[in-house]
Amino acid sequence: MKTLQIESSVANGNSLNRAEGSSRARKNLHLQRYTSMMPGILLLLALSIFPSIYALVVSFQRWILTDPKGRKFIGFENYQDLLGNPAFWHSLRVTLTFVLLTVVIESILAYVLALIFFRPMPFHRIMRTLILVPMLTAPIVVGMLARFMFDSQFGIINTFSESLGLGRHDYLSGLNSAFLTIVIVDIWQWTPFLFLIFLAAMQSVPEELIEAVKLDGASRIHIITHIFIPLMKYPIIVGITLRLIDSFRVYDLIYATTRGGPINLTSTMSWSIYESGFKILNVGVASAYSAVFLVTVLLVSGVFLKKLSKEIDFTR
Amino acid sequence: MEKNTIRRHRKGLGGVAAVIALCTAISTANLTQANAATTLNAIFLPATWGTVVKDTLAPEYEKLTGVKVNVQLIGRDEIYQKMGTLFAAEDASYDIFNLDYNWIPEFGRAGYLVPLDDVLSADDKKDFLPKALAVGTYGKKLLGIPQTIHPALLWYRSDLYNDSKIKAQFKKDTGATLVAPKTMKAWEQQAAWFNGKTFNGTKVYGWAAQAAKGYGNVHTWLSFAYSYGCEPLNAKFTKSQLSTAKCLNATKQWAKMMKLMPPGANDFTYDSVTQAAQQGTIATAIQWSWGAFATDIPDASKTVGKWSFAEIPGGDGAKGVSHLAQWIISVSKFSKNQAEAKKFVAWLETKSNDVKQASLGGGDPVRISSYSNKTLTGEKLAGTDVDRFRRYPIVLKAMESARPRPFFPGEEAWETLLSTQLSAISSGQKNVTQGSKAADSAINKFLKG
Repeated sequence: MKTLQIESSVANGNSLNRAEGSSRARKNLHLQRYTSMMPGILLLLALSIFPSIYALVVSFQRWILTDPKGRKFIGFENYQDLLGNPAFWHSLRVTLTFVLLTVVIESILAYVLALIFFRPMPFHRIMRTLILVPMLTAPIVVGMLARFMFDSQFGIINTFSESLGLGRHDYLSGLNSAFLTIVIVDIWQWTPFLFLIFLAAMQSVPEELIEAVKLDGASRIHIITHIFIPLMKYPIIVGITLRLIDSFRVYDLIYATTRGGPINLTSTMSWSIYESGFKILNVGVASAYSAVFLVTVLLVSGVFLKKLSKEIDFTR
Repeated sequence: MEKNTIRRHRKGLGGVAAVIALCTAISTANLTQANAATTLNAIFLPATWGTVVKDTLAPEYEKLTGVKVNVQLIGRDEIYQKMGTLFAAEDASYDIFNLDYNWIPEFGRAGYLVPLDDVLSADDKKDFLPKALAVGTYGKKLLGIPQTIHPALLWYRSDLYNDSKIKAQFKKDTGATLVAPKTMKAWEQQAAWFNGKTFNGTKVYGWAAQAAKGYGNVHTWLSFAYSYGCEPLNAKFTKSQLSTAKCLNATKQWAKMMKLMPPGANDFTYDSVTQAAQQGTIATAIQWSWGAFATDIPDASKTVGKWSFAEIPGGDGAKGVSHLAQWIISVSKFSKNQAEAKKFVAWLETKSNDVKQASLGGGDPVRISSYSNKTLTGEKLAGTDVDRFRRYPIVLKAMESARPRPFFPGEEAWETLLSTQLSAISSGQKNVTQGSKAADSAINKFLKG
């Protein structure tokens, strides 16, 4: 009996120890998880969350960098001034037009290129590499290249057009051409990005499926629209979303070429934020502009994504 | 045996290692301290006067005094942005800044610049061009030592203007004599006559100047404005006056002249004007005086020695007035080496260094005595008998009446707002009255805020 009691007490004691041990082990595991996440969280806080909150706070202040004594809380005044300023609505229009044109044309071109390169052909590797070169070049370099190439006096494009009897044009300073020239340069640079995504997605479509629908008598157009697109739905959404967000942020190209001109025809929102914050050193207004810009990007990309995923959801 | 020995003595070895590490740390700190006390960090514009400081004068100063000066060259807009953000953060990374003078009121009012009155003696101050010193002064304190001045001048092609056949043809076509114009109307007539004609196989346009949106078009327009007696702002800088009769006349003349520039003129930067002048595709120009050096570089220019200079023509019976451009050197209030920085700045602008900078191509001198210094005035272009600094007499004359940009703290923002409307006028989107009215409205709103 005693032995049993002793054994049972030992057994009880052991089971108690095991329970305590596993609870401690669980706590240690949780602690370990949080500890290992801390560096990433701290980095996110320091580089993303804190600056965003600080910028939001500054957007409610009057703060001009060369008037340190004049810094004060002014509530929504910056936002009121911004939304009541015709220049803001103009830059919104310019930005939305730029984003729409570039993303749509890049998507179509990239899809067509992906179709062309879907099947191997002579020198396809070299050609694919060459297509990627613009994407690998820094945007500021592309901008400077564009500035030199489109120069109305000495640019190579005008030299060619003049030799073909088409005369010279003010591509970057013309009222009707400056914006389109920027759009073309952006398309040239970023179509390869979508091309890569679409091509990879296309090549992951099972070959047997394509053969099967061909055997069923499906035409090329049918395969392209009813097989490829639905199966590539998610890569398409991802690619276009990334390009959408990037297009909103266009700055380097404008800095290197038109600087928002002629007049303000290429003044996008990001360019206007730069002018407010760094040309006029009005950080309060620039912060308010940035907040409105963020909301605009979220709204447009959200609406776009919702619409897109509904439209290409053929399988549901 | 060895292992046991190390184990036995590990405490002692550890102690020795700790002492060595401590000594190294202390001596490194001392060295760093010593180096830090004799190193200045400066930002200059990557124009010739900036590169002269970086490549020649700063190393020379280090040899003389042991004080190292690190010079970083960055663009105009970037200097302004850097100063704005660094000063707001009370950052001591840079001791010395090269400023465009129109920033002096803005940074001076904020108290970001160290007064430099004690850097120049009374005799020194007398030797500086009075207007050069004036735009380095704000609130009765000298906040920047002038480094280089370059008033806007009228450039004209002496090879075209002195050609007897061209003169005869001009006389026949217009009834006027082809000489450096003294009035805007005379200049317009000449530019219109030259515009589109071909000389020696090169098509020539009437003139060129900076016209791109930004400070470019404003700086060119200012020469027109001042030459018509236009006051862009009232005396207290509280009201924009671009719609007054004189300002409208100035802007109309500027807009008319814009049509006689080469294609793409609305995008013309300083470099575009330089290129056009070098290639000989323009007959005249409004450009900084100092910029003439680029047309005398044999490898780059087809017009070496062919440019002459005159004062800006006058408008509507008024005397021509140059818009003054100038770069200045200031010391940051947050510098931890203010005394050393002031010494360096003073040394940069001694009489001999003012001449040296000009001789090395660093921009036009800021001291009166430099303009009669034989090192400069006697120098000829290589292989010719053309004076290298033939513009100096005109520069001195222009400096008598030259006017700076509106000298008030909001000037940079004023330029940004005005340039947009000037761009609208020159591209034809708005007429002069509409553009001037829109500029007045935008500027008045800014001034109130």
